[in-house]
Amino acid sequence: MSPLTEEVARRAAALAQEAAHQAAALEERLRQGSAAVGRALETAGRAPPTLDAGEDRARRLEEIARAAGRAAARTDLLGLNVEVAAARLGEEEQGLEQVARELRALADETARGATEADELLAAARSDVAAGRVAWRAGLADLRLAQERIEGAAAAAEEAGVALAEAQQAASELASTSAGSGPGRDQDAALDAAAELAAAAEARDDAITGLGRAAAARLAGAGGRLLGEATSADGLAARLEVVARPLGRATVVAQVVDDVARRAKQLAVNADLAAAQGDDPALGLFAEEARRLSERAEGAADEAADLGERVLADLAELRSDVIRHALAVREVGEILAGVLERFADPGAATAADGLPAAWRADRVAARRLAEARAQWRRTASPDGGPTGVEGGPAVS
Amino acid sequence: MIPAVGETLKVLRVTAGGRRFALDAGLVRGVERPGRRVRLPGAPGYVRGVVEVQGSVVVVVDLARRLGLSPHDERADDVDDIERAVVVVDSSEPVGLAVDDPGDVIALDPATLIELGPAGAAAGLRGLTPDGVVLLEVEPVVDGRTLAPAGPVLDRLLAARP
Repeated sequence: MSPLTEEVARRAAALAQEAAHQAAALEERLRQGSAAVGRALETAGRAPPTLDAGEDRARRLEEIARAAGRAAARTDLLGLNVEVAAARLGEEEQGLEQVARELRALADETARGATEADELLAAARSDVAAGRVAWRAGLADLRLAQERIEGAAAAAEEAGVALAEAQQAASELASTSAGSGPGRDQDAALDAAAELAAAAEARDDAITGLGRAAAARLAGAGGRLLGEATSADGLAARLEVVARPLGRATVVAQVVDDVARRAKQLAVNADLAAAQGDDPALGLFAEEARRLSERAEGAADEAADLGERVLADLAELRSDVIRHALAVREVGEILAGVLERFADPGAATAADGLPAAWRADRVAARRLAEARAQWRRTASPDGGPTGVEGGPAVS
Repeated sequence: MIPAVGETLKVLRVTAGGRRFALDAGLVRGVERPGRRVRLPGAPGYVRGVVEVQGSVVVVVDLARRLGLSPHDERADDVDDIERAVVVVDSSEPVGLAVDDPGDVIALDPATLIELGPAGAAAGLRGLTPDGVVLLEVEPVVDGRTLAPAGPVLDRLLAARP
């Protein structure tokens, strides 16, 4: 073999070996990324049912808040009627007037609390619904990213196999003493050696192109993942904001409970006044006050229970969202690392350039296979084995 | 009920047709928001229908229309706005007065009332409080007699106040 041919062969072998290492590293990182996306999908999959349940409970709390508002209006009217009754009964009914004043004050307090709770809960429900829509879109993005990563990892695995073949072809070239065999056509051997080296180099170029095309494809997925991580961070922050007014809304439930107990006491006072006075309407007012207080008590209990569950759900959801953001960011960073090694910012590689890169690689693979076959024929003119098939790699 | 000298008059303050009125609380049976109303075809324009209050059927009179402060609007009748408060007053039989806002009960010093004289009486109005609340004569408002429009009477009186 001529020094030039030897040099070409050694360079081809070294190139192939380096490229094989790169392909193996790429495949490993991509497999890690795929596993990380799998973990992120698992974490994210838990969120939508929690968001659904949270939205349902917030809706129920809104209904209770509105019912409390209607009860407040009814209580206010009741207080007015007690005022009128007290006015009819005359100056001595100071106790009844006090009952009326308390009822109207209670009604005012309840109405304000109910309005505030209603507004808070409507805003919270709207936030949770928006979060759920964004979350589902994020899940779809993650699944797409996982498909892309799996595809790129498979491409890297095949590239690794191809590079191992190219490396073996180059080592065959380097280890054969082309010039010394009997009956060897020197010119043909030189041509075959040169073609083998060229084919190995072409294969290496094709594989590099494959890596760049995969990287360009992944660039989109990586960007989406980092966007998803940022969106998840935003959702976690929004959930924290939502939880604060919900905490106040449950305090309103305690106020309603307090109102119920005070209304019950007022009903007793109204009963006493009815027993002492002539006006039968007072008995009716007392009965209504008692009914209102029982309804308010039941609503307050339900609101307090729901409120606690919603807050617990939101806290759990927020933890899930934070874990999800971390997991997705991890995948984004893995991909960024891959892109750093394989992307070529100077080359305008299209995100959909992978099919063309595959086709180029197939052409290069056929050329390399033909070059190896030709090389073997020149090494053994009768077509028999040269003893160098599957020989050791040149390091 | 006419209070004795030195006594106060307890009145229910309401709002109707954009103005504030007062009714003798002694004549008020109660305040309700009935929720359901049955219309009475052929009744005067100020009659909104009948409602049930504490087991009794009560005719509801729109106070603002009765006093001539608000025109009869057919389209408004089609809107079931019976969520408005109805003040049930005792007359020969109970009558409900539909108002915009039932307000509260206060004590009036009759000595501070500005009597409105015959012009006011023709419109169902009895007196004016220092802060501009008009005390109504309930009986003329509910017994169906023809009333002079209250708006011009009140505008003249309020314009004449110092």
